[in-house]
Amino acid sequence: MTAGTMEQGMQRTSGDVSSERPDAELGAAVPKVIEARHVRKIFAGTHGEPAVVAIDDISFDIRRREFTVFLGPSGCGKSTTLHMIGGFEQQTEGSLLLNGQAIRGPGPDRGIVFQDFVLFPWRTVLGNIAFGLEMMRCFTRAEISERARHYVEHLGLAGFANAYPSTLSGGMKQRVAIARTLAVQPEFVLMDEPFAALDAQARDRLIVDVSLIANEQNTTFLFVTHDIREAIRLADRILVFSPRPARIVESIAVTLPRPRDAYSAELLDVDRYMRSLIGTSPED
Amino acid sequence: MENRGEATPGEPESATTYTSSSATAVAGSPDGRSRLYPSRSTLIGTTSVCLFALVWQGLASSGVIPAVVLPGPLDLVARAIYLAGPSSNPPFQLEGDILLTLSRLLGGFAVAALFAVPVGIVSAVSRPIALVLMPFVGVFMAIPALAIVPILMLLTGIGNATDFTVVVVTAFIPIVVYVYDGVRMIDRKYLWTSRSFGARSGDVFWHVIVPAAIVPLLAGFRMGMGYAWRSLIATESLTALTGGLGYTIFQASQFFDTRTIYLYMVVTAVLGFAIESAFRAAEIRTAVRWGTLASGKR
Repeated sequence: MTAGTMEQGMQRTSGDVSSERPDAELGAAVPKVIEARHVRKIFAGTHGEPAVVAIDDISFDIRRREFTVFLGPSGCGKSTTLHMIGGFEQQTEGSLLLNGQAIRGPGPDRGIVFQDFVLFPWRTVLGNIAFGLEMMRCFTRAEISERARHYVEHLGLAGFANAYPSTLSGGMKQRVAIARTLAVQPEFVLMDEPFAALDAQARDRLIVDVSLIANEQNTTFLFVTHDIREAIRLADRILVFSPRPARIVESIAVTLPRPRDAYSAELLDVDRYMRSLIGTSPED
Repeated sequence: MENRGEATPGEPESATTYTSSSATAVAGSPDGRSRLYPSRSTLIGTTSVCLFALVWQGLASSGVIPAVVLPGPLDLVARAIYLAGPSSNPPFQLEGDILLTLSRLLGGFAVAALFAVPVGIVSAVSRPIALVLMPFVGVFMAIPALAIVPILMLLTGIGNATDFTVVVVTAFIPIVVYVYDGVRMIDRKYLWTSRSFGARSGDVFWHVIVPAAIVPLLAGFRMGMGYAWRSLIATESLTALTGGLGYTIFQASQFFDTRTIYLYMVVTAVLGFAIESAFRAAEIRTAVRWGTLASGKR
């Protein structure tokens, strides 16, 4: 597959993806908000087990408002990369800068959405969405309630504001988690395989909804998945991770407008190309 | 009837169908709390207790068993009225004994919980602290409370302080153990999530750790209360002159006053049941309502 046949919706860069790359859409004028340089992560072995090199040596840049997808096989270190950006883990070597600063722990500038939702079961839908707003300590009760209700509506949760998470389906739970994250208007939204536990219909609707949210929000999205179709439907740029220890083998810019029809000719082209690159059969 | 499972395939999720599915969700939600505890189960429980009392009274009235071995419920009621009344013998004061024992129990328990919960949480969060503290918990778990009573009596004299301290010590250990285990079981992503919202330590404690560990926390409270309750009754019988249910049971046994012994046993059981019900109610208002704990309807 050559660049000639793929010129429609994507551009690819191999090797060191942190160097200047032909990013037609974003351009060099958009500031880099995350810069990773030769990041390496080793998990020390516990109870006599050997240490594991999770991430070998990765470097990449992420620009403001870019929707970046980390794509790779399960257990390849892409979630660990996301957790390091979230401040939950620390790299063993290399530098990881967020707006030019080294990352020191988690913060409200980076919201995170997990595969298993991690809703607070002791809070209602509204209470979960209000959590981050309460922690900010700069709003009155009325303001918190009003903003939380806005996100209830925004994520299609009307009528469920007072329900407890245990009564919701997986798709609804993930909507609550996304609303909870968006409610504090973080600069970054980190999503760690957010749709992996959902049924096909719920996943499809959420891909469309997240596409629309990404279009309208002034937010940088980082999205981890092992699902090629999810990646190509959402990403401005896909960083393809190798199996562990992780390296980035490819950076692919997808310039088609969102929301993207999963069965459009262009997207199927990108899909076919990605599969040839990664070497998987359809539906891995 | 309850829709509390995981994703139901095909469940409507598009915005247009939310209203139709909201009705079922609300009907199945734990807000209809009365249904979690159907009054029928209360009815069955009450009936069985009444039947038991009836058979007991029949057995006592028939004269098959001498009244001194098995007084009937009516005898106990008469005894209770006498002991609670103005004409009763000073050392046997039913309401005074109840008040004394309950105040020792609840006061000591409150002190134990106040210290045990933070100790359990801190041990669960910090490995060095756990390494230092947990051996002591293991050691004290093995020592029966009654063994320390003579030492406490030497230390604090014969009085309230001994009974009170026994409650604190016996309630403390199980609460620490349950909280320690419960907090370690919390999914670390709860903590990650709360910290990614900028939650402070106090917020994490009250808004995340306590509710996330509420079931083991209440289990620790129940165990602590159970141990403390039994130890207290036994200690009261040893620390004579201090009054309380245990003291009176012991005194009455000296005179073979079986009616008083039976009466105090019933009172002890009823109070224990009331305390257990309070914990059960706390569980229903929290974890059962949230749908994280089965209602355990009988």
